[in-house]
Amino acid sequence: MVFATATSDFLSYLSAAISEGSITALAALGFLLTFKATGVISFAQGAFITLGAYLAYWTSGKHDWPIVPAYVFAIVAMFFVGVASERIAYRPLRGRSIHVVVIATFGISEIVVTLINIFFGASPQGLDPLVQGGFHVSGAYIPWQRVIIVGVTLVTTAALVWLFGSTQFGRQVRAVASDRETAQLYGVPVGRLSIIAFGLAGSLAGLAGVLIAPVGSIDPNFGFLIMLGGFYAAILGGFGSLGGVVVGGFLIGFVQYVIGSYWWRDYQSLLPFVLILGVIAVSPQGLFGNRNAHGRL
Amino acid sequence: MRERVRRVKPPIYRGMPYLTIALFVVGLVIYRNWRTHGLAQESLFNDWLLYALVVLGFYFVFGVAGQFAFSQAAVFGLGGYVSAWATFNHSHPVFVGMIAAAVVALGASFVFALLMQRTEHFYFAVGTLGLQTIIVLVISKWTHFTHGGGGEVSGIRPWSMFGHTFLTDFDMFKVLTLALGVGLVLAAFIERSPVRREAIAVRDQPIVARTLGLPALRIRIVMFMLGSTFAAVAGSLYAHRAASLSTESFSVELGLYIFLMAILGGLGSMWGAVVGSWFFVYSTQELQTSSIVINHHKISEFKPILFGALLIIMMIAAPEGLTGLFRRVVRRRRSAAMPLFLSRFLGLAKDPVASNDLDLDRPGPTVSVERPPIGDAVLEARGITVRFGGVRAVDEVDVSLRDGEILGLIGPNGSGKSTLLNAITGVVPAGGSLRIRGTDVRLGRAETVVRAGVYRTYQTPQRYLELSCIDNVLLSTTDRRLTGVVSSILLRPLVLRHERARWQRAAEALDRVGLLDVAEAPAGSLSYGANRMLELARVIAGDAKVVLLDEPSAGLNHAETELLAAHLRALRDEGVALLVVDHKIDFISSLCDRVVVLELGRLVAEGDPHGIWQDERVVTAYLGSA
Amino acid sequence: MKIRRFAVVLCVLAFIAGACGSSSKKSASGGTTTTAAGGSSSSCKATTGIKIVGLAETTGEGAQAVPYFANGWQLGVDAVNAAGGICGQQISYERLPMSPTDNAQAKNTLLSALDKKADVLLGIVNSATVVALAPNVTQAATPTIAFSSVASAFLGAPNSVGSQWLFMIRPRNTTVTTAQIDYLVKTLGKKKIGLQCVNQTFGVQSCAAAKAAIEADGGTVVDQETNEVTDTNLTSKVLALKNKGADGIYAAVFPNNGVVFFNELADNDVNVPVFSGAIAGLAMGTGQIKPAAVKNLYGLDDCAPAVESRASKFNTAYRAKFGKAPSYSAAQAYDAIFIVKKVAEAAGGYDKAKIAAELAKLDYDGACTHYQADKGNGLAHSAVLETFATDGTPTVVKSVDIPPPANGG
Repeated sequence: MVFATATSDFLSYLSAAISEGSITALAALGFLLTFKATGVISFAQGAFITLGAYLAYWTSGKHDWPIVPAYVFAIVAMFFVGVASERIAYRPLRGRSIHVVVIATFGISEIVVTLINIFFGASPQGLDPLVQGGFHVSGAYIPWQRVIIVGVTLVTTAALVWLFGSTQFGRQVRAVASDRETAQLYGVPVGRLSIIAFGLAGSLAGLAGVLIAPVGSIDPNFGFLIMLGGFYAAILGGFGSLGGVVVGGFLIGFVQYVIGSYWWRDYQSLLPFVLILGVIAVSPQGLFGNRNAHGRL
Repeated sequence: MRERVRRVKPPIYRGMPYLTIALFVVGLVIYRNWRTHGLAQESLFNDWLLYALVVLGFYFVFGVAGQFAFSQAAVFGLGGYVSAWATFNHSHPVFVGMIAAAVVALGASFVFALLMQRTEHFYFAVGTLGLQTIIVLVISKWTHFTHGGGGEVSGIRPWSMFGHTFLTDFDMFKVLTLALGVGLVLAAFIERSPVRREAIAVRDQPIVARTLGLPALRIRIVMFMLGSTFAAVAGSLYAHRAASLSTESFSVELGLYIFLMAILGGLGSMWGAVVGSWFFVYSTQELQTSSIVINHHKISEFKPILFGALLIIMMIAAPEGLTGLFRRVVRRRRSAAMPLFLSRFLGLAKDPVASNDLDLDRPGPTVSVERPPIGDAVLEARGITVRFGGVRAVDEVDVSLRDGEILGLIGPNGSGKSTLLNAITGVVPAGGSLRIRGTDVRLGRAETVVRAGVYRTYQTPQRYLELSCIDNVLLSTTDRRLTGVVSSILLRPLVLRHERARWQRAAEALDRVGLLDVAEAPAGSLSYGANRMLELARVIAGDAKVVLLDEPSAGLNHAETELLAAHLRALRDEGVALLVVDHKIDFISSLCDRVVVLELGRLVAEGDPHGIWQDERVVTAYLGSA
Repeated sequence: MKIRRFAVVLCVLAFIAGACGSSSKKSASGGTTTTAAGGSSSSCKATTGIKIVGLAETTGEGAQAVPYFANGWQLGVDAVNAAGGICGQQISYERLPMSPTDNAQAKNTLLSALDKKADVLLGIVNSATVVALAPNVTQAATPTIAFSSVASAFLGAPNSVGSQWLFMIRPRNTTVTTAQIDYLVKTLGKKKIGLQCVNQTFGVQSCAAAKAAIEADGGTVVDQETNEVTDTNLTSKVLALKNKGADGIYAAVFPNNGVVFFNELADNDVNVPVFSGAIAGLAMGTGQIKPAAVKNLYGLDDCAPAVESRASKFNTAYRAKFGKAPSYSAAQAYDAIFIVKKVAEAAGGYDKAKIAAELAKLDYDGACTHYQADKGNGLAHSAVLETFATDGTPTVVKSVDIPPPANGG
């Protein structure tokens, strides 16, 4: 009886760890994309996650769209929001130091969150999941939405890996990431690359938002913390490799929801911070990064 | 020449910052008593003073030392909580709370900065975000420390000093003005001391700073500790003024607002903190209490949007902030019309009298008829190997440089010349051994090589664009005593004396290369040729024993190259050993005593400078086999 | 000395009134006034309007802003002004947004209100802010009706920051907690209680009060879990509570945590009564709580104007103007305006000390509840225990009387 409880508990924690870790990984993938293509860390990513969720809420909750079109609308709309942020915060500031651009992305974040506040209010709202309900595994309840989250994350990661490894776009991004000026001399269209990268990052943020929103509730600030988790995942993963940040995301989920559930439950949410501080104190390039990569950061 | 040099005064003696601060304080008092009406404005005034103090600390952390720290708000809160806890027992004087807050902040920031020592920029920023969260969480959970639940503390004693209790906002105004005044004076001390240029050097180009021998880690840690202490002291004052604390007030949002205040005011000057916090505090209040309604929404709802948009616009149009804008406007208007005393008062640098180009008509250095004899080996590098992945950029190279000689190093592009220099000066990790004047020096540590008297110049002149020419030269000084923050505050007269001596030496070096007239101009305004001379001046001021020059004639025209050669010969005559990497045949031939040739990372030939060009191996290396 | 004797008489009267109070709760609907003791309403003639300043954010002004206070005040002001205003003059009403997180800014907002010559202040809706600003209220010597329940703001409470100027329109949070615990332990008979507390003042204080009440009622706390405001997954807490065998749960969390918490309880087959105070209603408002969780959920609100008969007129007016059902905060805000009318007219004018004195002996029947000032300057002494239908409509299970602490405070 006790063992059965222990197994089902563990499975519950594990499912939470994996699904939360997936969301973290998605968030990290988003701004890793902008970083690779432009060298910018976009602090607006959290606001975009929130905005994606609210766009889906607006169409499905307020205008009674069916779920799937609502999600798709949100993801597509966020692409254009991402492009807009490139035009506003990145393009006019090209050539300035990276700090300046990062600060401008703060500005965007503030604007977006306040607009959400004004239009939708601050009370928590709800977004319907793609599939209601769940199933039991050895006594542990696993909502279908969590399975969907993990599945979508894996598919997205695979798609991004393919994109970076086998397409011209991916090759160009890698070239720009390693030496922007040379890539420009070689004729890589860096301007177009930035636009697409920011747009894709916006979509990834929107995707993360619509996936995690049904698990709880949404309020104007919920994306910020997910973004923070994404930062930690990217740091753990060494800010270079896609696989690294995905592993980083799952590692954070594991630390917080499996290890944290058994030991130090009261300080559970503190554990990822402690992990990160420990890792970057010892190994500044993260667990999987290369030594030279962090020079630019 | 001596006369001109002696008349030059270091900026420490220029401008009248203390007078400015005094006038500012007096102005504060006048404005407060004359124009402040109503309780809200009294309270706002005090808020402004408090935030100015916090942002002043942040100015040192971010504006000067370039560290992206979000922890300022958390340390501000931590200072408040520590102060409240320390003064809970009524037998302790309230002043103890402030001291406790400062001590805890010093300790915590020291530990944190030490942990984060190898991280930069973004990673550091995320680390401080984590620190912020940890501090808030610890305070909320540690009920024994806060005597309450959930991080809420109330009933904090009001500030009292010399038997007088400061209860009302009017009373606290006096205390806060005093605190801000002291803070500004301390800031002025630090601004006008070597600390500032060293921190900027470490901020802008950390690798070059290390090759100059600057203690980068120490500087970064100290600046972080300094900024955190300012925040903690302000936090203590805040706690005793507000009488209660809750953790919600010290969130990441406040950290972002501190950022905003620093940037709005301008990161180039300590007054930016004062201006930025003033703007923020008063505009927030205006927005909150305004009755303007847009489309059924009060304008206060749009406050974050307005600030966000302001941030973006400022970054695009005026990244130097309000104080920077002011300075830009003043500089442009500053013609002969501005009276001298005003320009001195504002501390504006003199415009260079001459142009910023090299004056080629000026007589070059006198070359002595007799040159000193070539002596023993002063630098011996054996078996230097540098690997990048699988590639051996430098492969078992032996180089020895003798006292009083000029050694040339030539080779086609990609042969590893720069990498060899990088290896010797400790910029890249390398295998092999290095002896300087008979003492073994460990490879891979830039500081030790510099301390042994080995300087280098770079293919593209590495100088700090923001600093003035003479500041750039001063960075190379060998006299490193009393350059720290603590000395700048406590041992000021001694610091000034050393600065004067350093300044003299730097001025002499600049005069020697013909750049004394542009000493105060920012290094970014010099022409290419003048930049080369600036590098040379740095080497001269640094009392180098060995100088490694990486393609020094690149980009110079014929006349400039001649001048450079003359300067190098003069250096040789003073007993400095030189290793010159270059391509120009005439330059190498006329200058060097001996030439070695590098190809694909290996030493392939050695000989006298005239015959080496005929050597078959050299021809093949450069042009390929026939 | 005379004041103390007067206060004793008042207490006795209040006690007697409280004892037979429950029957009067079902009297007239909101908006009517009963004759106050001392001074008639028609003896007040003023030359200018009374200045009432509301101190709360509304939707969009902040991350925790709700529109209920602003809406309620506006509705009340409109109604009173339409009926002739106060002392024959129209009310001069203004609302200033007050930050619930930034205490320095909140203080400045309060001071701005005073600079605008406010005669009466309404608002301050966050517990931490009330505690922080209480000294300023005292210094300002202006009657203030606060919309918070933090126990230390009541006169005579342990570590009290209260004063003769500060009045609380909501029942003490500690007593609200006790009322729920009493129902859970004594009426429902659950003895093994689990606690879930958010790591903020509200959570910590509520759980401390709950623990004391549970033990006083003869139950035991089998497990106490904490979470952060920002937590989105509480599985570990839920499983811990389940494994410790809790047969009843008291939760002091924020609404977004609440949604997750209640759902996860149901998902993991924890079918025990869950009491969550005012948070239950707010969480239900998201529409995200599963039916299996809804049936276990109990809420406690200061009142339920959407369904109670005493608030029917107010309810209709609110829905007509704002298109949504009112919350208890809106009803209290509405009542506050009428309370000000009553005390100002009883005081014969806008003198702050007189108004405060009248507030200290307030006896008024409002839309939300019957208000009666007690020794600690608390005005409300009742709450309603609710369960919910899946669409969020509350059903009043029981009206709970919350008498003021016998020894004051």
